[in-house]
Amino acid sequence: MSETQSVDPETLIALAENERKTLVERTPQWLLVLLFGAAIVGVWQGAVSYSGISELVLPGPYQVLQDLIFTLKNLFSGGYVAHATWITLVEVVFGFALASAIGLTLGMIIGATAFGRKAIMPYVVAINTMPKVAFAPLFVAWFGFGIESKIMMAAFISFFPVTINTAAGLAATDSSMAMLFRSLEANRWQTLIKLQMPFATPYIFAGLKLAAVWSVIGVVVGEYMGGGEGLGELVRVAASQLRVGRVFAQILLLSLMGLSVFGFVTMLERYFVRWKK
Amino acid sequence: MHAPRPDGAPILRLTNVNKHYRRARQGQSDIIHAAKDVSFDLERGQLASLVGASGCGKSTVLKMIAGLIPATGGEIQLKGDKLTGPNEQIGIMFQQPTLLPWRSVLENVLLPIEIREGRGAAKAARDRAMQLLQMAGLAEFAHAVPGELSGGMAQRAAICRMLVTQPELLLLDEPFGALDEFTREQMNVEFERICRSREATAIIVTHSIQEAVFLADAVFVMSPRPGRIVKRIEIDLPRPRTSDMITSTRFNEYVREIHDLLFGGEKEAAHV
Repeated sequence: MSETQSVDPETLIALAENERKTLVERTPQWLLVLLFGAAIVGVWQGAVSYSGISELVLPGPYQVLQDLIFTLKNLFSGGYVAHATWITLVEVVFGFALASAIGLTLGMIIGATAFGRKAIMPYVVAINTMPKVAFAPLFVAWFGFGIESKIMMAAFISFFPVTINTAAGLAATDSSMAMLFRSLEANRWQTLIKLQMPFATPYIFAGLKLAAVWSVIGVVVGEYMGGGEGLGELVRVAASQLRVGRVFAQILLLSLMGLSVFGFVTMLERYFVRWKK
Repeated sequence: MHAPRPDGAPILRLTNVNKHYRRARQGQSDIIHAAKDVSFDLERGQLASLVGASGCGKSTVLKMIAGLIPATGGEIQLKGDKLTGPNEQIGIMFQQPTLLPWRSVLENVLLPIEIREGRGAAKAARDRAMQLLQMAGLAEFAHAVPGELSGGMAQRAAICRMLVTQPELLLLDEPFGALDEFTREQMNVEFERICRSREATAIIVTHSIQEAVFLADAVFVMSPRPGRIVKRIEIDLPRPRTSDMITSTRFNEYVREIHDLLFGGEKEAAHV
């Protein structure tokens, strides 16, 4: 046997293909992300230094970093940022939970009953076409200036993807599996619980992930309109005082919050949808 | 509850079973006969195959027996009782294994019992299910999820699920059609062995003439438009059936006979 035959020919082809890869393709992703970020910061600093834009309108990266450090210090020492973050987190979590509950219930009714599909679905679609943020002042009028109006706003904005995905997931049940259940004389409830719902979980989680991000948006909109004590209110106040660096820092906190809820849902998904390759 | 079955009465009897659809096309409606005047008897322990081109109504006939679609005429009797829908004495399996991917293999096998008799009964039947898995060579995969099984293993699990309720009649809709040729032949040998050891009565729908002949005591050759049985051919080959029979003269005479029935009209063209 010659030497070449001990090496898998496909490996050789793959190796040859590798050599043809460009520099970018061979660079690890983290390094590219870092380099690109550094470039943006460089351009940003350059623009602030040489264009004459006022620091009040667009602070440089250094100023923003200082504001970020201040904000984080305040957060971890239990200052007003910590309080605001806590309030907003509570609103986001309750808003998301409410959206999930409403979305799952409505989605199950739409996906599992003819009445839901024919009579309720058109209304859900109609509501979704409305610019939901425009309802924020009404929610303040209905539910007051406390956290309730923010929770409702978050739920209102984010129940839709859960509803639609639950309904779509229930409808997507594999037809031969449905036939198997019919041949076993499974009743409607058994089919829903043992077949359709598990089958729909990947769809439902896709909806929940969207809802996790949207509920942060809902809370911030609610706080813009209805005040309160959360991060959205801090952003509004900082912006009105032209402390743009603070605004950036607080927005970063908000996005971290969205990311955390998103991560939590992803963790649940890993557990519940572990059967899906 | 059930009328006593006179000795020698067939397990399954189809009498002039019909299925037609009304199809509206360009303002005109015509009637499509998916199955027309299908009649046959099946004795206990007999394996029958329904063979024919796609669209000949073989799956329709199977689904009517399974109670999944209603017949538009005629009567289907199981052990002398008229069938009106799905029946617990019938086990069924499809071309796809249709195992629930979130359940273990064992839980999948127990699914029919869980649905028909509840969780408690399913738990009580675990030993029986394990024996079935043992028989199918899947004992060590009892707690695996279906995603870890190969196509052939998944179909064997589906066979176990079909057998777990100890049904009187097995219905298989192109059970091995999605498997590769080697696995398919192996599955045929195994399935024949399982049926023989349990004296199962089964109907296998297939579009493979070889498979039909290999498994069956009787092959029903079906022809489309309207879907009907053109001939019942008794297969007089010894059991157990073995792989080397496939190359035997007798086997191939059956295959040829069925082939000519199915492709008779195109004989000339096929020989060019």
